[in-house]
Amino acid sequence: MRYTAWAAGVAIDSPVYLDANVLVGATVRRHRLYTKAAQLIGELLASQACILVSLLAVQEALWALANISYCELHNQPSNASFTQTIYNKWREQIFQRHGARMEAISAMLRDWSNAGVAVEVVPKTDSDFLLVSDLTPRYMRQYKLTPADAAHLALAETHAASFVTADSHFKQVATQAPPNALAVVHLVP
Amino acid sequence: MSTMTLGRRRIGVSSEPYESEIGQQGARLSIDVRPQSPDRFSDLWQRFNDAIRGSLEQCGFPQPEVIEQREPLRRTWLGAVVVAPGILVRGDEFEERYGGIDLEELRSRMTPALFKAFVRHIGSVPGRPDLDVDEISAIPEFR
Repeated sequence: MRYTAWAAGVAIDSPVYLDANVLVGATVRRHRLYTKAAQLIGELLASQACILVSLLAVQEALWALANISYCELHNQPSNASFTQTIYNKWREQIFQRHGARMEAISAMLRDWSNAGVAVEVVPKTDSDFLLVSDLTPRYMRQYKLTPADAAHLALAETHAASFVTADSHFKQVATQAPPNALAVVHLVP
Repeated sequence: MSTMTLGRRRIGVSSEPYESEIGQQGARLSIDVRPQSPDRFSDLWQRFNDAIRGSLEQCGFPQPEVIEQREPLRRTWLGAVVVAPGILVRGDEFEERYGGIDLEELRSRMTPALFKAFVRHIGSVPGRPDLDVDEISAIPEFR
């Protein structure tokens, strides 16, 4: 596994698996990674890269958008606690006030696809699903990852040439992992 | 070429004598719809133009190739910045969303439809400077 700290002009091999934090990072502005995330997405689209997404990434992106909306509704700092109990309590208000943004990720992926970008969902087949299911617990233990992070890594490793993420845990993983074809492309400030 | 104006659109129709390779005579008809002045319906009219030209092609009237004139990136309309046909943002929002991105370079490498899909979505949610996109994307997994 190779590690690359992404900067403008650095080529990214296709197909490219996008972590949820990259989808959110390019959709939400005013945070320190935004410009790089947006430029990276622009580079991927312009180079006609094949974009791989998972339902897990979309779910996490939706969670992030709900979290951001809750913080805005209550004028909370962005690191304020946001649990499932809080989400259940304020869900209706979040959708009443910010319902349109909750569709931002799906609209973005749909528009890319309609404009000719190869947007593919992984896992692609039953056997891919079983392979990812096998690898996920192995990576949880081997690299000390949460189930979601381990699943992202397994999805990327089984389908992609590049795994684009803003999660710094994967820098460590890339240095520990045995050499293989996957490149961890890290979005750093 | 005959021209007519419809709203803020100029529709041009031209015909010229045409003789096919097998000696059959006829006329070559071409049509072009262009904006009299830039407006936010450019994209819609472009599609209309493309549809008419496509239909004429299918009916046996080859259309001359049109070299697309790219519009300047930062047109303004009623105080808003036109980023792509149909995509208007306030000036301050333009700086926030696109200020640090080399839009012109990316646009030169994308089709108009793809460029529009790109600029429509990036930075569409305001967010806050203290936001950590990685932290905020983690769903609590241990209840």
